[in-house]
Amino acid sequence: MEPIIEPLSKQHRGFIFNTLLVLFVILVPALIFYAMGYRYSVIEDIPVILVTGGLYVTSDLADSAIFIDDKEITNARVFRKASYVQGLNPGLHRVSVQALGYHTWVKELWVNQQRVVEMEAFNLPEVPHLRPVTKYLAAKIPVYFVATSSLSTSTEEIDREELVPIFSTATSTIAYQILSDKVATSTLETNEEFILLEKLFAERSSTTAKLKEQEKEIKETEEGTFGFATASVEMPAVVATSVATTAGIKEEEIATSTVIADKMMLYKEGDDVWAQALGSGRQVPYYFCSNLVATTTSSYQYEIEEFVLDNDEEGLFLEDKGNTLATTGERSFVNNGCRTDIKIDRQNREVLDFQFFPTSNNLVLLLREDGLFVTEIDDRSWQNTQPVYYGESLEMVIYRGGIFIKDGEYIFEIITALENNQ
Amino acid sequence: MTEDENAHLLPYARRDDFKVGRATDLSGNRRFFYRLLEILPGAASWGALIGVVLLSNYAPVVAAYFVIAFAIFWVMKTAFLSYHLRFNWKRLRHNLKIDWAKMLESFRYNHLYQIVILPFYKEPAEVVQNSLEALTKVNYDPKRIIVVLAGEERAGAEAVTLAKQMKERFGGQFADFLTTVHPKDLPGEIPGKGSNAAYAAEQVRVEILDKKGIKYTEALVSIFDIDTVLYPEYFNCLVWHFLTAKNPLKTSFQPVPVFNNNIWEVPAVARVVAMSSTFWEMVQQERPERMVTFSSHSVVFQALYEVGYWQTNMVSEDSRIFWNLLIANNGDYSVVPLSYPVSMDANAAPTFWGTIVQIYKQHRRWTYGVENLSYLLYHFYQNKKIPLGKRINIALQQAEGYWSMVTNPIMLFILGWTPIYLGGVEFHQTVLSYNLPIMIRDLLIIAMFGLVISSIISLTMIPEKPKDRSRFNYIVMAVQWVMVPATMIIFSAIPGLDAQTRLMFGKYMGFWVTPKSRKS
Repeated sequence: MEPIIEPLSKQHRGFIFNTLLVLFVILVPALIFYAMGYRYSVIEDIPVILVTGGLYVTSDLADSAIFIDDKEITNARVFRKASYVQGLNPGLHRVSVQALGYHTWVKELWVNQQRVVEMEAFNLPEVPHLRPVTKYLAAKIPVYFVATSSLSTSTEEIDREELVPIFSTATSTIAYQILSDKVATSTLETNEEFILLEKLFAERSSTTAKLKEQEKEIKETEEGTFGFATASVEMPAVVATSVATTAGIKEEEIATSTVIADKMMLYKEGDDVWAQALGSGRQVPYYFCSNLVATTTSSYQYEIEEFVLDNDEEGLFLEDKGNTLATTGERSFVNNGCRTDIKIDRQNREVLDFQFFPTSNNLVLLLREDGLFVTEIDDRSWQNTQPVYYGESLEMVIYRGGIFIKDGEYIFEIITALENNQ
Repeated sequence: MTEDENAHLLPYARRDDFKVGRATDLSGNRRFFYRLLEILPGAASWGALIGVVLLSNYAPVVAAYFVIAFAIFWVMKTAFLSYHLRFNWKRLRHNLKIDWAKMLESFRYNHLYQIVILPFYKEPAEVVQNSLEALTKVNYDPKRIIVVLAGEERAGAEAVTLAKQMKERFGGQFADFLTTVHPKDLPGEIPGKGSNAAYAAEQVRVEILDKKGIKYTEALVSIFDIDTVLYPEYFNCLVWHFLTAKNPLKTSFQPVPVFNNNIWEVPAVARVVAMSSTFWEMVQQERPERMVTFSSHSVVFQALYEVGYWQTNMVSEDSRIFWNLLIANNGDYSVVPLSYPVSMDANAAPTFWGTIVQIYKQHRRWTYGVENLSYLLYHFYQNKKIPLGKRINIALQQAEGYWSMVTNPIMLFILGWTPIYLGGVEFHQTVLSYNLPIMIRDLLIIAMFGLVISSIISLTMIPEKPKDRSRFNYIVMAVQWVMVPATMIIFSAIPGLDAQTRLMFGKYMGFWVTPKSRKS
């Protein structure tokens, strides 16, 4: 048997080498151009090279569906909870993120050649999910007390909702008990969490009252007895209170109605709430530095269904009467091509309180006269606003990353993410 | 050395700088020049790595283009090398089946002697014994085999005793069994395999070859690590290649080192690293013009004698001897790949972390072979008798090899992402910045397909599993190749960069002896 003594011949190796070299020479420019957004297409039998852009959408909902120009995206590259869609023709594109049981989020943004537009969607449950926090517990279950006469009738579910009014338009995330107000509380456990929250609400109320006084003083000083309409106003003394959140974001509340979280600040000026970017460079959120869609000069507002395509295809686009889209149509202060401040649209409602959403500095919790809402700071095209809980004269406290509401005598935690997206 | 003592050396080998080990061995302008050449490899490697980082920061778009082009280059290179690997694998398997003794029937070779030099230090008796036992079982006339068990004085009395015991046990089975004790602290020497082997070779010449009148051109010297276990047909295969070589007296013969002695006993990471070394050698066997001797190899005694044996003042004597021979012969020297294996130990220590450290140190020693780049560039500049084209070709090949070994894995698996992190806000908004990680990842996945080939080949090359091992171990053997990206960085690129940096700063390394052990 003759051994295969010779290694690969030089000719053979040369052939392999040259083949791979040619492949290299072809692939390098082809893949670089592809990576830059160039796409080969045939339009009306004419081959063309298109220069495309992309969208990058982040969403906290794992099971959400992303639609771009009313077509569901199924081949997006998924980075954790984000989707990257490329190959989009430059121009205006409508992006919506929706899921059953959640408000729909919509944006219309201009995609430029070779540019990726980032956006962060948020979707809150359509039906508020509340975790009741009661003063007393029975075997660790929250207890509500009602008049004995109310209990004499049936205790079916619908009656239970009537007995505890907050659950008439919301769902409880845990079981709770309804007891007669004649039941001795000594037989029940005192809920430490309720005691703590009551204190927090009391402190908050006191602070809010002081703030209102100070704002009133500022207003009166601005108008002034000497008629200095543009007199500089000495800011009231700063009182800082640290509030830790589960997200690890340290918020400082300064008694001039200001909230700071990381490199972002919310502040109130007059009746309006503003968001300000405190950082520089990459610390400034993308929406401060992007071009706004051209808007009118006056505020306007849409109900989201105006953007819903009338389509018989099931599940293509969920109607959502809760989400409202609003834009002020104004440009705020500009610094080196990026804005520093963005107005949060309150939809002409009085804002009683405001905070950053616990898990996102791009969202603002607005406690308005008509309820608790979440509004995004990103005002490109418009700001999505989704209701969290309707009600009047509500109070809000953020504690350890949880959103707690006081509605009359009831205290509860708002759960913004459903378990397993149910 | 006097002129008479130098008479046997080739003319170029008589130069006082022929066996330079480091810049400090020279003086004046030569020292300065050699020092620059020592700095060059480290500077080039660090320059490339830092350059990619700076480019990512100041010109991220250009850096992204480079990273994409480099990833494509990597895929092409992987395909190219995998092709060579597969071909050599076929050749290896074929050569293992050949009856080499039958191949030699038409040749006259009974006049040839095999001198087997086995340098050892403090290796356990089982290791030495295994190697000698394998020697007794080779399919070659044992009365034409001269064994040299080369010990070190600094290893102490135990080593001397061990050598004596081995001689008593095996001495009668061979033509000669010589034990040598390399004196310690000889001036101008670095303790190590090279100085030990050189001493042993001279002892063989004086004590055996000259006394018995054996011609230097008829004695083939094989220098093996003490843990080397020969396959039965090694010497027949070697002799066949020697007799059929174009210029046998100007040729070294390189087998394929496989690390099978303890492959079932060592951790997976040690197996992957060891087999990767084997595969690299297999690839080189298909590119003989780029081959350099490595570890165990064979060469005719005459050639060794003409250059004064292995260098005694540097670390990587196994590859340096080839450069000595090439340069001293004015470029008229080559390596013939045998495509036939010799089995050695995979690097392993009693503990897992001990193994990691040992592998790192071993590979740092191997990659310290970059000291040869300084040597060959220096002498390529001096020796104008070597054809210019050959000098340029070899210089570029070797320089590229040392540079890419260190930079490529780091650039590919780590720095490929620097444009994204350092590129700035403007770059971060481009489609290019989003597509870059996707494209790199996809290209690397394609390149990793080569690992499937490696996995398959490795399964065909390992010995039968021991009876006490479950079949599940075969699955582990196949899947362990996923570690390659990590081992390429930790045991190739980083030790290589470590070695080049030491050379760059003049922190010359000594010879680190790889501890050998066997589970009884």
